[in-house]
Amino acid sequence: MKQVRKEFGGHAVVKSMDLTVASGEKLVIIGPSGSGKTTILRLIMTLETPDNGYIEIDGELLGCAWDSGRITKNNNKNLRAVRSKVGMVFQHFNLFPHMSVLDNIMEAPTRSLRMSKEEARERAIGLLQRIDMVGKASSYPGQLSGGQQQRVAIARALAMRPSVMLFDEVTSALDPEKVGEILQTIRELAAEVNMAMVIVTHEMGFARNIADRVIFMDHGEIVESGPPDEVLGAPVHPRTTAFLKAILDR
Amino acid sequence: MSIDWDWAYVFEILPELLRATLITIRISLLGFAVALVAGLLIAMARMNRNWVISQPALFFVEFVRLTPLLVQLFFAFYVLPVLGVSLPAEPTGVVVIGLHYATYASEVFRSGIRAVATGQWEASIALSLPTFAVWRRVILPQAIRPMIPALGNYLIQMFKDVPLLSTITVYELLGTANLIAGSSFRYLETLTLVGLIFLLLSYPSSLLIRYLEIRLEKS
Ligand SMILES: Nc1ncnc2c1ncn2[C@@H]1O[C@H](COP(=O)(O)OP(=O)(O)O)[C@@H](O)[C@H]1O
Ligand SMILES: [Mg+2]
Repeated sequence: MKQVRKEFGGHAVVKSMDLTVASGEKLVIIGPSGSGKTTILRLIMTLETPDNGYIEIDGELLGCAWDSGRITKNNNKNLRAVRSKVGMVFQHFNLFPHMSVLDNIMEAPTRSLRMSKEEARERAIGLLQRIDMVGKASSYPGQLSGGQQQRVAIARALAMRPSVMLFDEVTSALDPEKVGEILQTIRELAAEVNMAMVIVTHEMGFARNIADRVIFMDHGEIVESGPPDEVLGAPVHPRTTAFLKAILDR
Repeated sequence: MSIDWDWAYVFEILPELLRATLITIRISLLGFAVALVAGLLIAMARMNRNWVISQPALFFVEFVRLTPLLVQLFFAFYVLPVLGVSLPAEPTGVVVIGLHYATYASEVFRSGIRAVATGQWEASIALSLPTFAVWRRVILPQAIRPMIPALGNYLIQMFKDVPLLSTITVYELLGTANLIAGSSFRYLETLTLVGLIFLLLSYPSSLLIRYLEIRLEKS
């Protein structure tokens, strides 16, 4: 991500952001609400288009193309291909309510990757085993608890085998006692899969445990970036210190 | 005043009227199919971000709504052939009444589609689903269920508008009844039967729609 800028109504929400995530790296983004964390994930997921700058995934430009040294906008042809390397898990799950758990997970492999039904089903069942929900394959999202729905949403995103997964405060819509199970699922994935993760969270223990690197953001800018022990344990910037203190006091 | 009601005559013309009723039903169903398909296309066009697509759709909707259906029927049947487009009476009627109701259906589609949570669009994008699959697999299945009562009401309304097609020589129920009564001069029985047939078909349909409405509200 290079010099990426995003404005809403003239207000710069993300200001000239440079950010590189190594393959397999687990990056945690923290910061006060409104600092632009969600917007960064949405830019990477192509749910928003940058006003300036560009984003590359595995060396390929997202939604635009190089044209004699310049960036041209709206290259829809490569958009879907590059986009499919990114997966996202949302705060509010966004499962398809009219499809069973199994169909939710099979949908993208069959429609986006044009995989055969049998192969997609096999992959989906494998994922359900990993999140320990094979028994719920034919249930509908409405019949599941929030924690179960979020696990299905994670499995659904994983079914595309993305090279980077984005998690946007995936536990903040859950009951406190369900938070642990989701974080455990993500932790297991992080250990198992060689897949980059960009995680926005307010769970500092989890952040410290999973992160290779932590970024603290404020007002659309990176204030501090480094290994979790430094950023979370011994922050140098006063704004980081203030934020961490506010979180602990909550 | 005594009413001179002839039962024998009623049973004599009933088969003919029932046959014509089938034509009315056929026109309603075909017209409704046109309304659904065209209505969906209009709704999608109007929701397109590109004004070259959305503006003509809006213009079409306004044009159809601000002119009477009867004028549209006359225009399609008597003027279009002069311009080199000619279809038999019944298909002309089906297309015109279908497109007329398509503009109403398009509004139902539009509000139904807008009512689908934005998170569903975002999840579809995040899963790289092709546009066609997003519509067919994710958005429409969720949008259509709440739209069923409103669309059903338009079907009944359209069914009641089919007699207008008698003015362009389509022998649906009213046209046939007029023909019969014109030679027997027994308007009383003939038109009473027409009214009863419409009532007998519309009333249960509207009850069914109300039932669906209540069931949808509960779920
Ligand atoms: N679609 C949008 N339209 C207008 N403003 C938006 C939009 N999305 C986000 N914003 C604004 O951008 C700022 C950053 O939002 P966000 O990225 O969601 O922050 P965070 O996730 O860190 O809480 C907020 O002030 C928010 O109100
Ligand atoms: Mg946010």
